[in-house]
Amino acid sequence: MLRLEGIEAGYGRCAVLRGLNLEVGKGETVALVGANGAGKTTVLRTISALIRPRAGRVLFDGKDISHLKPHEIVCRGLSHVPERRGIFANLTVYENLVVGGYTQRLTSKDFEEVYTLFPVLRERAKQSAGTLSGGEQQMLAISRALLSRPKLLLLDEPSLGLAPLVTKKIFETIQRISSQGTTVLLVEQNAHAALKISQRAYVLEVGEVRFAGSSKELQANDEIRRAYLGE
Amino acid sequence: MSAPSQNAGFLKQATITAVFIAVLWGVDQLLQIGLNPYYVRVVVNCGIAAILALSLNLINGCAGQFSLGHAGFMAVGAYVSATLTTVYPAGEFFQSPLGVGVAITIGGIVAALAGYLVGLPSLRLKGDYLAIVTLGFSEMIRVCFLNIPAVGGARGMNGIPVHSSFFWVYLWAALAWVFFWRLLRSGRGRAILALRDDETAAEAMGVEVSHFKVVSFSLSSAFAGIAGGLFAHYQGFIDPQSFDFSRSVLVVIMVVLGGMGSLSGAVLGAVVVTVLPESLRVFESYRLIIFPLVLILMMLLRPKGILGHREIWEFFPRRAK
Repeated sequence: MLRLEGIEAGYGRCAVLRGLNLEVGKGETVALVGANGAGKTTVLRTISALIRPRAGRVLFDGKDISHLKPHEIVCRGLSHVPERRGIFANLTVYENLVVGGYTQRLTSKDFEEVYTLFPVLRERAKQSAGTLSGGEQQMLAISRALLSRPKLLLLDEPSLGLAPLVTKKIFETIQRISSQGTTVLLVEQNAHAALKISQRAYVLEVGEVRFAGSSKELQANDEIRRAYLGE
Repeated sequence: MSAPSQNAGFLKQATITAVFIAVLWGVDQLLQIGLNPYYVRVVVNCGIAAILALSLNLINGCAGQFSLGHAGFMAVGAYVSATLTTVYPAGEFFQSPLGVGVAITIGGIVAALAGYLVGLPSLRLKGDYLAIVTLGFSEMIRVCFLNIPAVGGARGMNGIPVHSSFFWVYLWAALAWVFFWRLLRSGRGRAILALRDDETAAEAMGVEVSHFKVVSFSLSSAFAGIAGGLFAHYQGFIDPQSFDFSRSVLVVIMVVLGGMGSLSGAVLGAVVVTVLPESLRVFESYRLIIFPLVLILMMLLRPKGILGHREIWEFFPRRAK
């Protein structure tokens, strides 16, 4: 469904990704783990065209999307939950969701679906989003991305700054979203949790893929456990 | 929605509009006979200021871009419309009240084009840098008019037909209010608001950021141009000095003082910034000290502006329905 071929990207003169190859199949949940500065977030930003790659191609459903603008990519069915959530703090929860569905014609059924996923959002619909707790903001960010009806959901560190219990809830929901047929590419520091809910994983190191394989394999690999899972 | 209820809604809206126009006209007539012309002038200036503040509110308050060049767009509207009605009269038509209305509208359209041009650099610039570009642009516009002899140069333009009045100014102000009100409650309006809070996230949600920045610049400039046209045809005289940097700053003060992003806040700010210097006239030249002092005090007491992000009626508890 999504394929990155020889991606090179960076900021200014600083190169971050050096010839990265990556693939996500339809219906899969794929985790992208690695140390700080490995380039995980840059991968997602390149896919959704927030930055332009210097070389290489991004293929989505077999078509090259690396020349498209960000809003065109959303229309193709690719939705990005940015790092630190990026909610619109001065808009209400409901308005945030409306902007999320900006490319779609939303009906009340769409809102019902996300409210079932995260009931707390229904209670807070009229509250301004900046007043939500970190966990609720993450739920809002995910719901907002879902309202553009993505085929592929890009999640950047959904567990950032959240309590373990809330993280667990978020990960359960991600599993549920994936079981309903949405493909997920998940970037995480919390490698344990990410490997648990994903089928395959990539380990990034300074802009290159260091290991790739099924999540079970990676969990079992001693070297990786020592280097990335902190054991 | 069924057809009859839609019709009823339309009828209701048409009635409200008609009543509003009748009331405006009535008040206009009363003001002409009843009120000291000086007060009328202050009231009309409030209306013009309100249009300026409402329009700047779209860029500065809603889209989160910092523009310091509103006087420039106002100048475009004023000079274009005044040129049509005075210097280059296309027959008798532009001298009539209706013709002046058309000229003011054309001024607004030309100002929108100018806004489009300034909107383009805003795609790459943010905050202070954008403020400098818009400031430079408005100064450029002013200096251009200063050096065109056909529009009077530094002496300005005289003998502009005086056809805008309380009625026309407040009709346009109401139109601006309804326009921005409807805009901000539409999907597009929310997209503009999303820009202010997080541009990257808005982009990732499929909002075409560059498009909306330029559009908000153009719309805002259009109404600034209309305010300029109304101003020109109310004063009967304009010169480049009327549209200098200090006027841009005054409009920014109105928006910030009233509360960024709040429509009623913009209007309130416009009224305060227009009326306050007038009411301080008893202090003579001391008012130049007192006015800024009052502004500083207000900002200290309410750093987010008088109303903050909210509208004025949100401060009163809602009646149970």
